Amino acid sequence: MRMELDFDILLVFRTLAETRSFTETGKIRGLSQPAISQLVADLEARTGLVLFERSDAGATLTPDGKEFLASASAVCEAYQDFLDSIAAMGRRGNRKVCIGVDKSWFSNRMRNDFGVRMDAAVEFSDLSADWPARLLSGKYDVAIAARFMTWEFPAGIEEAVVLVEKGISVAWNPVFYPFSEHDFQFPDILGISLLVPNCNVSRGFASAVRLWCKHAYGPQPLNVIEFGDEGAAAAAAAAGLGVLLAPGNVSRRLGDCTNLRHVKTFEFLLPEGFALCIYCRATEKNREIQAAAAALAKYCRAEFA
Amino acid sequence: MKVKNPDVAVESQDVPKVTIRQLEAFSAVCQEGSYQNAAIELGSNRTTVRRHCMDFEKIVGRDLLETGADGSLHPGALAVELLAKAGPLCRAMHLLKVRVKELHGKRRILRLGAAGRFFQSNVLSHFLRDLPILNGFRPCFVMIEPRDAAKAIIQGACDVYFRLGRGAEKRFEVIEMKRVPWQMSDCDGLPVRLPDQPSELPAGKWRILEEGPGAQEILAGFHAAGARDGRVTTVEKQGELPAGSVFLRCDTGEGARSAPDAWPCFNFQALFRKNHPYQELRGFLAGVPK
Repeated sequence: MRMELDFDILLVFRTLAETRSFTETGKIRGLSQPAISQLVADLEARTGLVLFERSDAGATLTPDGKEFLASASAVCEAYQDFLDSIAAMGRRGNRKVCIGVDKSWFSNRMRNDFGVRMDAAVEFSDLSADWPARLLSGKYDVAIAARFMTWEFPAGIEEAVVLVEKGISVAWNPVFYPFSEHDFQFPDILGISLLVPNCNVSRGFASAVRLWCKHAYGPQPLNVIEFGDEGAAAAAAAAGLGVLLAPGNVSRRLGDCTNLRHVKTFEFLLPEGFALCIYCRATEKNREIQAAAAALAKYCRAEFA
Repeated sequence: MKVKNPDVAVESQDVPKVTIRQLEAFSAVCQEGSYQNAAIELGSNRTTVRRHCMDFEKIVGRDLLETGADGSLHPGALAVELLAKAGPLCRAMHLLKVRVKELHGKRRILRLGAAGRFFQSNVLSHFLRDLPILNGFRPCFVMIEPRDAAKAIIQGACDVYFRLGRGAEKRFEVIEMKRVPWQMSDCDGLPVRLPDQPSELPAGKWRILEEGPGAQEILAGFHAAGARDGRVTTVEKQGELPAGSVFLRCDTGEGARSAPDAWPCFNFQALFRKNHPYQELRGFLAGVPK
């Protein structure tokens, strides 16, 4: 019997293994829940393996399912790389460059302004969680992302720092919280909800805050709410939902929330705490991509530094 | 398939759908130099192979194949690059298929379920002793009461469920495996010899125990065989038998032979999911001597 497997069915399988929910998998893959059930049953029939045990709580991998997942994930990765290659070839033919952007305030501004300047030469795409791998495989040609302190990006990627800011910022609405800008004590905010940007806004910041609080003060913050958008976090702080904690100098990133007070702290400890960086493949030879990365770096230095 | 909610950001909409068929067809044409030869290589036909290649070119957005002076097809520069990129993908798919074969080779788990009563006697082990299916699997046994059986089968908590019953089920494959003989007792529970024919049962003074689905069908069979005025009863109503009545229940004891043809009876049934991945199940279970 010839085993007929296709890529889309394996992607559904991997998503279900990750989410353990038929409904959630349907949302992610753009299919209805019965369609997901049918596809998984179809995959089980084709492989002759019982891959999931269903229950009211969702779907759990069987021992055979776990073993199948390892190999199926390798196919999914290779498939994603292949699609990225096709997309990259298409762009190359059209002399276009794909810039992957994170959700930071800087990237949002750049996206509107720089995109207009470059006209049709660039297209933007939101950075996915696995963007370093996708940069290498060709989904993105250039990436722009903010980071907190340093991180070990994969071999084959080059980083250019276009903006560095010291320390971290704390912003609050004085109507709700009686902190003083002149006599601010960081531990005072541990008993309040902290509104922090997530890894899509500033890589490494939220986890570093938790780690720092644990090791420096012992107790964890009362409640940490992660935001995928600094503007939304500032609005939440303005509404009194908590205290905004952000890397670098947050003053210009507060948008319309003029009622917030803010201080910078840990500037001495974190002289290069926050950085806005541009990433490229180290082996990149394409002139359009090199030119776009250079223009992007020039733009960011001129606009943000 | 239908998109459930177009407002939800989905992964599947922003990627072209390259299929393994397209990749295989494209690789074969590049290698063989014509759609016809590629079709022979793939065990397909020229039209299908050509369609797969055209679909693939459409996804890539470029012409990938060039026609030589002799009419043969060659991969262009872009196609050569794509073939190189497709290499890791094809290898990963090959390894996946090898892995599946390995999993089959090391014997898959087969969960056999039955009600608690079957675990209290030797009936299940006696029945399964010569079941050839066990040679190809790692069997394990789960105790599931009949009221939970349907859910357990659907959710995959058990692969095959054994029970007493008769007739088909809409949702499941049902294999009738063995005709279960009757044993008869009187009102006091003392054993009584079963007559040779159902027609010899005392008119109006016999009851059959509802051991599983299909009891009414069996009762009709009794009537058709000449037995008069009997009824189906449950374990709870066993004590309400009128004086002089006899009570028939399934003999699931060790060494019980198949029921004689003259007697309508319950069967020992095997139930499993209609689309169960173990495609050998039906053949194996249907092949068990009755």
